[in-house]
Formats: sequence, C-alpha cells, structure tokens
Amino acid sequence: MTDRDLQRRVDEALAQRDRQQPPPAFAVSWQAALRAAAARQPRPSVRPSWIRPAFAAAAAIAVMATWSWLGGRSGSVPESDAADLRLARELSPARQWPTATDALLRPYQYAPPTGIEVPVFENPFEESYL
Amino acid sequence: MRDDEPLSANPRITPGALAKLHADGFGWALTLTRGRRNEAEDVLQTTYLLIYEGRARFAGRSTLKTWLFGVIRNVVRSRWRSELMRRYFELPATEEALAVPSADARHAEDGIVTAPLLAALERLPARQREVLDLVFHRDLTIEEAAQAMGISLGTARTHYERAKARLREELAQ
Repeated sequence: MTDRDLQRRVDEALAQRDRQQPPPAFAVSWQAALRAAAARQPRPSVRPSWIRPAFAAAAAIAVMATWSWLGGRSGSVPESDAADLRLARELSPARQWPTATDALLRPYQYAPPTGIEVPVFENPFEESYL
Repeated sequence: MRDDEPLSANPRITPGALAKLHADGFGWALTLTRGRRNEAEDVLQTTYLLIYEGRARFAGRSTLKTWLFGVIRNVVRSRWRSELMRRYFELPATEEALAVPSADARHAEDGIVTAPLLAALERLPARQREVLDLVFHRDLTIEEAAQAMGISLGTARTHYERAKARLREELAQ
C-alpha cells in the first residue's frame, strides 16, 4: 500500500467519523464562551488590609535583630573572655598570644585551659634508654 | 460583535476566521478526546474562552489553523492533568469508574458505525494518531503538525513514519 493510498483511506475514515459527529454550530460554542467570560467576576481580595504592614514590620525587626547579633559576634569581646586573655598575657608575656578576634573565631584552639587539669602520663620505658 | 471585527484581547483574530476553522477544530478535539463528543465540545468552548480573554494570544508566527490546533491540544492536556490529579486525590468508589470504554463501545453508544481503519487508528499511540490526523486529514504539513503538537520536527517525522508503518501492519492482519 503506497503512502497515497494510506492517506486516502485515513482521510476517508476520519471524514466519515466527522460526518457522523458533526460539530455544534459555531455561534453556539462562541456564545457559550462569551457567557462564561461574562460570568467570570474578578475575585475579591480576602487579605486584610493590615497584613502587609505587619509583614513589613516583622521583616524589619528580623533584619535588625540579625544585624545586631552579627555585630555583637564580630565587634566586641565578652568580658569573661577578655579577662582570661589579659590574665594569660600577664602570666606569659613572651608568648605570641592570639588577638581577641582569633580567640573568638577559634576558641578551642586559643582559649587558655582554665580549670581543666590535663593528666600527664609518664612513659615507663623512656628511662630505660637513658 | 461583528464577525469581521478583531477581538480586543486578540487583535489578529476575528470571530469569522474562527468560524471557518470551527469544524476542523471540533474534529481535532474529537481526535484528542478519542471520540468523546461532550468532552470535545467543552474543549472547544474553553479554547474560545481563552482566545476571547487573550489568555491564548495569536502572535502570527504560524498560520491561525496551526496555532488554533496547538491551543486545543494544550486545553486537552490541561484537562487530562486536572483529571489525573482529581483521580489521585479522590479515589473512585469502584474500579468501573476508572475504566475507559473501548472505542467500539463508545461509538456504538453514539450510534456510529466503526470502520476497521478507525479502530486501527484508535490502537495507535496518541502522538502517532495525532500526527496522522493532522497530516492526512487536516491538510497540515509535518512541520505545522509539529508546531500544533508542541514537538520538534524530527520527533514529528519519527511519529509520522512509525504511524504509517504500524497502520500498514494493522491493516495487513
């Protein structure tokens, strides 16, 4: 069967189907669409008028709080940390002490061990070599 | 509203131009809805609503016929998606509610004599059936059919060739 034959047969079959199911009149479909368009009212806003300023205020407070918290972290040193650093500098002035910012950013690396006793283990074999 | 007066939301379209394509548009909607007449009427009405309100806007990049067929196809797909969601969230009471009657049963209901070729067309995958309808019956080129179906030209050609081959096989049996 050639392409042309196939096309003719498909065309005839679909044309027969279209004849058996004729379309509704254009005016009927078009008028129905126009009626549906007229029936579509713009949806009234259900949002209360105070909601927008309230959200704006909450957002502003959140920004200010975050800014303040970040500023406190980077700019100042808590009093207890500062006192520890001062004491440490007085006890060993020759040592290269970290700055306050370093101590804040890496507290476990630079903070002086206050109140923690580090156990010292002796190597029992070490002396045998001496 | 006069037939030759352009639509305010779609200035390149007049109701008269749509009226000329009405029968073809309905036939295309029938193909997409697999012969369900009521659904095809709803689809066409929704399409006209979208055009009237300017939610589907014709920019003149293709022929009006190609564009209209594309809008009709989008409307059908959108309805399918809604139907799928509805079925997903609201489980039907019985399995029968989900069952789609066969083409023969639907046509018998509508009092239509089903030609063997129509039955063979129904058995094709959707895209193959659509491309054959557009090219063989609606006088679109394969390129225009690709535009109307929202697929690339290469894909449309592939579906076109496969549809012809499969239809030949079906008819040979």
